[in-house]
Amino acid sequence: MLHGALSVFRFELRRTVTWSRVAIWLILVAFPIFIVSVMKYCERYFDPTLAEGPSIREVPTIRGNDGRLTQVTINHNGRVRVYEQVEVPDSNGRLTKKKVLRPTDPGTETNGQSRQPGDETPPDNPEIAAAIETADGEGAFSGEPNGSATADETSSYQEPRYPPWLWGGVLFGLIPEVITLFGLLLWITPLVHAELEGKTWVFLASRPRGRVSVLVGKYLTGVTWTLLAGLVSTTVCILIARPDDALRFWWAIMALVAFSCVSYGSMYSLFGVLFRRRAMVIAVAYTLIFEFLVSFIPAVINQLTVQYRLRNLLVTWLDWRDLMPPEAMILLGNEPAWLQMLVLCGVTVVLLVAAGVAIQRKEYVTASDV
Amino acid sequence: MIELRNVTKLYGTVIGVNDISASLAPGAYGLVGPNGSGKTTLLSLITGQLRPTMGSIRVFGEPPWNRDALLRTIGLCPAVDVLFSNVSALDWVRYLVELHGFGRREARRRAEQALDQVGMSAHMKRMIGTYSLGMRQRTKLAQAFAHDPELLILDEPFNGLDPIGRFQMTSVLRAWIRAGRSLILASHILHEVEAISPSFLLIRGGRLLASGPAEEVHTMVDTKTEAPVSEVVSAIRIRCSDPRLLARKLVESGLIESISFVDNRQVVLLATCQPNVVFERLPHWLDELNIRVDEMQSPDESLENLFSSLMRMHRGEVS
Repeated sequence: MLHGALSVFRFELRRTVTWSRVAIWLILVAFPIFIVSVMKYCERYFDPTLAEGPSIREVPTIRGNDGRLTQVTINHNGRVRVYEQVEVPDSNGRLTKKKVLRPTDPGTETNGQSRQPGDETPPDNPEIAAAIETADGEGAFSGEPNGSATADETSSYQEPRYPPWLWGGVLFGLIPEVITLFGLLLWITPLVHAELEGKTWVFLASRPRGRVSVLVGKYLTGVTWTLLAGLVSTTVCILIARPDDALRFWWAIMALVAFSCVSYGSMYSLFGVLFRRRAMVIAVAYTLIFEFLVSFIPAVINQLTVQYRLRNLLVTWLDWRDLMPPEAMILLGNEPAWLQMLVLCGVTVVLLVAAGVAIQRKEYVTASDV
Repeated sequence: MIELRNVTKLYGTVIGVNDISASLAPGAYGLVGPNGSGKTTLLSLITGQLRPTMGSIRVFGEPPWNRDALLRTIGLCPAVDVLFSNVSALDWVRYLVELHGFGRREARRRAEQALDQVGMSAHMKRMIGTYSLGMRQRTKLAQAFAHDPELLILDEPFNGLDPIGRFQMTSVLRAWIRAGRSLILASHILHEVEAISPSFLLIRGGRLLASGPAEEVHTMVDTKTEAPVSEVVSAIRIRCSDPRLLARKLVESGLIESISFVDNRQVVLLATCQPNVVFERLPHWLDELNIRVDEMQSPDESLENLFSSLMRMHRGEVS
């Protein structure tokens, strides 16, 4: 059987390299990349106070000639922001220091200014010049900056960066969920229907173990195409997003893509075998109702979904359990990662065996038979 | 070789085959019947693609449904066309031979050998999408016998073949029978089957009307004062580059009952009781006279006549 399945896999892999399939594959790969790129572009507008985690950077506080204490931050996009330290009364009436974004000084380079990397022109604002010189070292500019300022002390500054759970959630939602499911729906669900429509079923079914070989071979082909799309998409998205601990992120998402591919692939194979005509519609309906709706019901029934297992693995592998709000924990379990993986592997094997038994026993009547 | 006992196949309320019983010893058989008579259903039942609704089937002593070992001994050439356009004949046949359990190298060797036998060796590396219908038919035949089966089952193998292609296909199948192997050839053209197989299974409306050697069918029909198989006239329509020259040759051969010109004298319409002999000699005559054939049709009304007679007998209308 394995020999036959590998023959089908090799043949299908070669046969399916067509312009239309490559175009669909590219669209699947490009979709998450596009979303992540747009998100990354908008990251500079993100309110850093909402962010949690290690996006804090030490920046010098500059005392200007006028004695004011200001802080200049330059983010990785070259955007310059000038903050001023002011004293404001707290609830007890005591004065506390607070950092506020300084309003634009007329005629000077200040809040909102962008600098290109390698720009050696001294900025007009001495505070900005001092901040850059402190960061890049003496001689950062080709000329003397206007005015003077000195680094007084350092304090922490939060860059405008999305929290890591946001990137994780988006990548999980886009890659192991959306493109994996689309790819598998397109390439695995019509595994019998495509052969019957193409009138090639009879050639395969008249071979020993031909039916099961078609099932396993086409399952492997569909999983390979989808896994490749997931691999490329995940890699490019992480390169664009540059989350903290990117390698760990990559491994976690790729492992989820792999588990998603094999488990959903086996599920769609069974649909493809059982429902000859509207297999894709039934598979979509099942996914929407059971995997996306039921998996969010806080009851034991959600443990029957693949989605529940994948979600738990994401949270476990990225150590988000402590970050999650208590109400979200209702949707998650406490099972260890190895158990979740074991369940997913078990589901895959059971569904594939069921599909194998069904394809072997089912009669596929074609128009030419009747 | 094949035992059919009261085999019935229903597709919902549609009858595919109806209470067929027959016993076929190893040899060559022609399964003849008009379109929609149940030939393909019967072949699907024999090859284990379908399960009989009633009755039982045994092929080489085993029920064929879900018998993988049995499929190794059967080569099937279905009537459906090959629709893989971006795959070469060699790759496709090799792939199907691999599914019989052969290694890649052995599968390639067998595929090349089979394609060579059907005269496709010069084109076997071209994409199937670029083939003519006849080339696709020959490729289909190659995949059926490349794994060296004991029983070859062919469903309408002559569809789309030109006279030379028919001649080549006939030669291949005759060689197969001469080698002592078994064959079931399904066709709706009587003389195609007669040219290859000495025994018939005549099927219509899902029922087996007659079976046995041609002589038996002949006698059976003859005794009922109906036209015997050998005396049934076949009509052949040939559009060619020189109809007059071809007509003269046909008249000289003494094989035809009548001849006429139609369609502005561009088409020869002939009637013959020996269509097999005509089809066998026709390529030689065309070559000898340097005549180009543009179109050839054989409506085979003879088969309709024969089946009408058998149906009347079956219904008891002929005593």
